[in-house]
Amino acid sequence: MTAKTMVVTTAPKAAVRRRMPLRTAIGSGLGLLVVLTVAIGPWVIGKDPYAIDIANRFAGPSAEHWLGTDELGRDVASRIASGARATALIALGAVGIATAVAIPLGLLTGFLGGWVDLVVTRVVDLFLAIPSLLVAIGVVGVFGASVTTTVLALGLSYWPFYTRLIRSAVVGIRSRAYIDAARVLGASRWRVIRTEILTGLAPLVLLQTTVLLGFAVLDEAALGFLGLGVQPPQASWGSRLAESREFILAQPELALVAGVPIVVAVFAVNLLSDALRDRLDARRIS
Amino acid sequence: MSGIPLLSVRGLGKEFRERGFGSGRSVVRAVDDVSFDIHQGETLGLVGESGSGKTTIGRMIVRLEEPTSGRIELRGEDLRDLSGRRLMEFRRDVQMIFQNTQNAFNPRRSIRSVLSDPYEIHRLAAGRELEERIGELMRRVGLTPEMLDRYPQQFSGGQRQRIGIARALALQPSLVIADEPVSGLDVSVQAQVLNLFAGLRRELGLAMLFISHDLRAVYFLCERIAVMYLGRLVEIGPRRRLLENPVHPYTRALVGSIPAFQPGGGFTRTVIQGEISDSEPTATGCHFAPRCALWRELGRPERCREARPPLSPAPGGGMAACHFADVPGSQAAEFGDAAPGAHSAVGPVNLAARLPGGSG
Ligand SMILES: Nc1ncnc2c1ncn2[C@@H]1O[C@H](COP(=O)(O)OP(=O)(O)O)[C@@H](O)[C@H]1O
Ligand code: SF4
Ligand SMILES: [Mg+2]
Repeated sequence: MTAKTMVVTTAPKAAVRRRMPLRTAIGSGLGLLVVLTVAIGPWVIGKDPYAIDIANRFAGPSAEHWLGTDELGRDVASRIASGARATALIALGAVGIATAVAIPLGLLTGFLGGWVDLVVTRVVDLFLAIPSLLVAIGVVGVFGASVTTTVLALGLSYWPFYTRLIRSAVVGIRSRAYIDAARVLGASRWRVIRTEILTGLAPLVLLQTTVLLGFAVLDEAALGFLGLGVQPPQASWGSRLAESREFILAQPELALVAGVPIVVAVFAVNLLSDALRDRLDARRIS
Repeated sequence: MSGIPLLSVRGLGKEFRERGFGSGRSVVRAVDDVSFDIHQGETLGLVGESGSGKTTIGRMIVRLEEPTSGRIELRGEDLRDLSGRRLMEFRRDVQMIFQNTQNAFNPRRSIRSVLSDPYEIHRLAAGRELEERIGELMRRVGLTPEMLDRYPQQFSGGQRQRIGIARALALQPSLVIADEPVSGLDVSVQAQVLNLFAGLRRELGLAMLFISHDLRAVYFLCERIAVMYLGRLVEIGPRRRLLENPVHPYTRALVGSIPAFQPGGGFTRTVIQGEISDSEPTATGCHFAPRCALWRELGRPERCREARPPLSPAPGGGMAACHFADVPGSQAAEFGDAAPGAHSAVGPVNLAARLPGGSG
């Protein structure tokens, strides 16, 4: 009887324990690969991503060029590695801008309420009604396409929905009795925000940041592909995609090689954010 | 007792308006012209069914809610005038214990961090002294300092309420608003927490507004009892008088619904008949009339429909808001006629035996 109970109770736990690390392991493995590519990729490959060698264009993989050469004979591996830097910079910058705008605005509107809330919420609604691609095209039209513009364009298209997310989380926390308890103790507004609200927001922000990073990598590629992002010859994953597009029928492997890193990075981010979400949910339930 | 009361509530009113725009928003009169005093070291019980405005009164006293009308004074000083340093002194003087222990603690903060709040906010202690005082608080409410590094979810409801009490006591207040502090707890735990309250009250000389819908808990803990019905105070008086000789028909019905207060100990369910007047709050007349047994018995007198009964002195002490408070209706016979002796013999004594420390 006792032995039986033990088997029954331990079996599901073991299953859960095995499934979690597999996903987390794959996610961390791929994530590490991406991070390493960004951090030391160009140095390991040791090739100039801008060196043109027309005689050697469309060469296949070799000891000299690990992933072959592109339409101008440039080393594809080193273009992807240095492109990874530009893409990572853009993704981090865009998410950074969105977070930096969303947290204060979400706190302001959600915690203080009143007319500030009303006005900001209307502005957010307005921005949400404009397709983000349109925002990006507008920004590119005004400032011209570049890394900075891409950061700005993506940041601008993320902040409204992120602000709304933070606001609704703050509104949820604000109605808890522990906020009242803090006020009755004499806590200032700033202290309530710091000790009660931000602590509750931290997991959400962590999760949302990882999710947005995945989106940013994809969107950078999309903008690049449309010619609205990073401009050739500067390398980024998006511009790599744009460059390979012209030769997609003759040299489909170039497009494939340009696309794989994007898929890997987004996949890694999604796996990790899923694992993170489960961890946070589990902690909340226990 | 004499002198200025610790807390004085006069003509207190609160209306809630639905959120949004326009004039079509309905208004809820949650608290309607309520007056009472609490003296130094005294515990006043506030009873009434759910939605009668008890919590709202408590929240206005701790300034979580702004009164729509009326005045609240602490030691003769109007709460509305408080700001800056005086407001912080007020915070040290008046504290609150919350009903819902699940919601009353930030799940992401350890108990140590939660209990440090009052000392940090008022810069009362830091370092080793803070550590000592928090540990002392934990012992005082029947917990141990070893539990300080746990998180709220790791405690039972009763333990969490003890922590809530500790948080309220940290600033050594002279008045504590306890909003149904035991009603969310298991029955077996309720008596323990009530005993804790009784002990702390004795030791610390606390004054308390003890909100509850459980007359027995209130009888155990409070010197005086105030009864609310739909936002209005219908009766207030010393606990024995109120429970043994309730004057207001609503109080009679409430008292009659408690088995322990029934002569002979028979179990009868709530005897309040009629519908709760959920329509417009009656601007004129007695708002209890739709459910008032006495009113029906007296042949539905017009007076109850036309004039709002003021709180007036009741025989035996306290006040009641009923035009016919001195009419011994058959309702009174139902619970009370043969009662005075029987009541004091059966009801309260039983209760006192069940809840140790309930004398006085
Ligand atoms: N913030 C609020 N907004 C609107 N109505 C409220 C609010 N708080 C309380 N009320 C209403 O006021 C009335 C009294 O509520 P409450 O004070 O919580 O009663 P009790 O504590 O006696 O159950 C109820 O009808 C309730 O719906
Ligand atoms: S005033 Fe009239 S209706 Fe109101 S409680 Fe008294 S008898 Fe009942
Ligand atoms: Mg309540």
